[in-house]
Amino acid sequence: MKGAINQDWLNVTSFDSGAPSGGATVVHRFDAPGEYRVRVVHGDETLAQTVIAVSGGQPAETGAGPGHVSLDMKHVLTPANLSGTPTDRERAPLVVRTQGYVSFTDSGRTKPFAIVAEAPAGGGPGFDSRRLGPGDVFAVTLLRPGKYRMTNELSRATGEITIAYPVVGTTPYRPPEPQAIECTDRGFQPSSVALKPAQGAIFRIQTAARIKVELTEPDDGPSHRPDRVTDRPQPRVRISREAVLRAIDRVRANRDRNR
Amino acid sequence: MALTDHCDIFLSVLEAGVNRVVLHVRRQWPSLFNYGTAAVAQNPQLLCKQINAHPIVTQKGNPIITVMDPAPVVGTLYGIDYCAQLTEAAIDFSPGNVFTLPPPLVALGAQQLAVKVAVCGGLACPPSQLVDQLPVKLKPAKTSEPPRRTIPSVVGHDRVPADPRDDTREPPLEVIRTDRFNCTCLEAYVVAGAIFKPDDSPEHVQHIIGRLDGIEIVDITPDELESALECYGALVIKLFLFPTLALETVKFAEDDVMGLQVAIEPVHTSAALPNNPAIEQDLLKAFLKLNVSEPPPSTGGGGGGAGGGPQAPDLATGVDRARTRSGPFDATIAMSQPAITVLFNAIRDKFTLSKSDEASFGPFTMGYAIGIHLAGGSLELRDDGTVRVKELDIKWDTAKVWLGIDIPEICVGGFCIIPNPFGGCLVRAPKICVFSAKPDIGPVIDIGGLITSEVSVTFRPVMRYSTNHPSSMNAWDAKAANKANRWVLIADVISVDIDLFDIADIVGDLLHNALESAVDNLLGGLPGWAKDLILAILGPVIDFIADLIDLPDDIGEWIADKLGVSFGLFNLIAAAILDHVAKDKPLFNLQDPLPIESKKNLIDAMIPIEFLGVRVNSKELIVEGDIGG
Repeated sequence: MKGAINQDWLNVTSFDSGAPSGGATVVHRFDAPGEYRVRVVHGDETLAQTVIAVSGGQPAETGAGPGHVSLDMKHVLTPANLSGTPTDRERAPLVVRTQGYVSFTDSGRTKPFAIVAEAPAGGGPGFDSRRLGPGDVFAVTLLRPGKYRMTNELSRATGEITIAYPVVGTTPYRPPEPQAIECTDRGFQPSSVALKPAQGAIFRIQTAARIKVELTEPDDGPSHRPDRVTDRPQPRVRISREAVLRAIDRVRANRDRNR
Repeated sequence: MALTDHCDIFLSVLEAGVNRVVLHVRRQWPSLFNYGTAAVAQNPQLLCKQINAHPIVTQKGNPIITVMDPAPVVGTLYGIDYCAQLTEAAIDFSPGNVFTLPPPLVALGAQQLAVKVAVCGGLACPPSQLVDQLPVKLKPAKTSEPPRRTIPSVVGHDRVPADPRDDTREPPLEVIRTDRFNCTCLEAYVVAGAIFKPDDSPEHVQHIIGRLDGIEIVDITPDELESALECYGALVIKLFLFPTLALETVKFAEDDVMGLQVAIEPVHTSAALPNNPAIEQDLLKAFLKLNVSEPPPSTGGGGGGAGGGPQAPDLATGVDRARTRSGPFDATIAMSQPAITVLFNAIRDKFTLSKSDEASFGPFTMGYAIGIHLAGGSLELRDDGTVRVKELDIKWDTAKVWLGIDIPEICVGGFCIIPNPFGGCLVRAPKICVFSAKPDIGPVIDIGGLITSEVSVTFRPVMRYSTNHPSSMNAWDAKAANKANRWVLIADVISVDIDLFDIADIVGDLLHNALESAVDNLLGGLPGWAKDLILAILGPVIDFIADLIDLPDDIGEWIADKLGVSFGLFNLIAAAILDHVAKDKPLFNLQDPLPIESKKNLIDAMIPIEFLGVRVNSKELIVEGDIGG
């Protein structure tokens, strides 16, 4: 299975909206037009920069730009981009229309990087992944079965998410629709969530928040796994004469044709 | 009553066919039957009988006459020209009906043959007037031997070294030239029989050798002279002619009968078979038994022999050629069912096939590697003229089937985070995908040794004529160019049946295990929960793969269908077995004309095979042919 799956994601058991990675993403809506300077930071260090250009005009207008763009830190933080000064690590600006959404994630390294989008002069408010605000969304796909603790670092609200252990059945399993969790000043609604394997969770932010989801109690499944294959009856194999006779007819036809 | 009731192989030759062969040999090797001095060779008009030589003899620079030294006039240094010719030769098998035997020889009895030869001799007799004018040239008398001197240091010390003054070589004869030839011709008749006689060494080699029953030279007087000449002739026949003409145990070269070396030996006589060989019904018959063996390792250049050659030629497609004569065939060869079975077993054991192939079927690839040989089976000759090979086992020495399955990429996540108010989804979560490689799994199942198949073939042996050179090319040049025409014996296949046995549970188990192993390898290294998650998403992987590649419950039939139909493997096996005995590889081929090699540096004598045919009944396979005129 080498190359068929990013095994780094299998080891991710901690998710942080301040540094979305490993299947997690943060979505912010840019309501005011302008050029937003986006910095990828680690602590106080700016590792890379880019620009998000929020175009003016109404959403429905022609040439207003897309309603959504995705910014993957993996593409921003390439080895070449990590050399030189931060200003050297700029890339072509992303363009999104006013009231459009930008999703931030990191499909590469698991080292946490925060994203800061500085508003232009006279423009609207900026964005800092370390402090989400109302309207922002933090989405995560939890793969590892077990119990997770969800925490709003800014309000100290907590909750629990339980990921069920996958059961191999007679029909293919498909994760259900994601569970929405409201993050308010009164805490998480609901505060205890039971999810199916690989089912997503969408945190809709309604207050200042930095959401962390951490595995507290892994579930490695039952000690004896059912034998999924030998339970099935073994098919009887039969190689029929009819298929062979069809082949023989073709041999004869070819020979007659060649005479 | 079958020809092979008491033997594996029956051979017979008709007296008319033998006489045609003799005529061809006399015309193409005239120097073996015509002798004379140099003057006769330079002026064939002097011969007693003109020679009817084949035009190829002079074309190829072969002599018409064997040149001999002049006959000396006794006591002189003169010689005269002469010629001696065998002008007629014919054979008559019992009952006698080709020529009448002169007294005192009686009519041919049972198991007897008669040979008639006519010999003409001519002596150049100069006229008296010429002789009277010739100077006397007596042959010098031999000088007395010189006194012996012993020289111890010389080998043979009781003889002295040669002295040039003692040279006793005779001077060459002076030929008295004349165009007057006194010719006389005689007829001689021989009555004989034939027996098998083993050689002293090695003992197992047998020859057909003649037995002299009587000899008569016609019209020589006085009778005492005739008797003396007949006595001398009998000595020559018994001590020289019969051993020279003895027929060896027949051996065919390795590339004559499907690459096999065939040894044939005579059957011992018995109450059921009182005479072997037998001379009756104008035929010389021989009753033989068959031994088949592998040929010795090739030393390059290929084998020799009556029908073979240095390299198997590319043969033109044979066509039917009808017989033009009527009456008995000049030659008949019949092989019994047991003898045919021996050859069949040897042919069967030489068949092998190895093949591998791979093809794409959309979501999966499939390949195979097979190696098969044949075993068992039985051969049946049938009265309708066909030969049926029944229940010939196809042994699968190697039978590997592999699948390359590309499981479609499966992703989790990717759910909608921000719906589009106008429909659809505006922002989606990242996807986590698996099975991006191509192919993802490749199970291999080895079913070699677990499958046994049977094939039955019905065919009709057919003799056809293959023309390989233009009519403007003579047979000798065609043979040299490896383009000789040939009679070819082919198998005209009528039906082929292949049966595959059920191998319940085995192949299914193997494929299941192979798929499991492949999936385990695919997911190897993952934590158990991750593996279970992927398997849960896939569902039962066997079912998933089965659905993916449309694998039915009857896995065996699916494999058989893919191998047989999609890969055409059954076509391939059937065609390979058919090709083993099919028209591109004749069972047997015989050059036409049939060359007989000379041991005297002469051109090959070519014997035309005017017709060759084959027929089958429930007891034997019979090949019949005629010698061309």
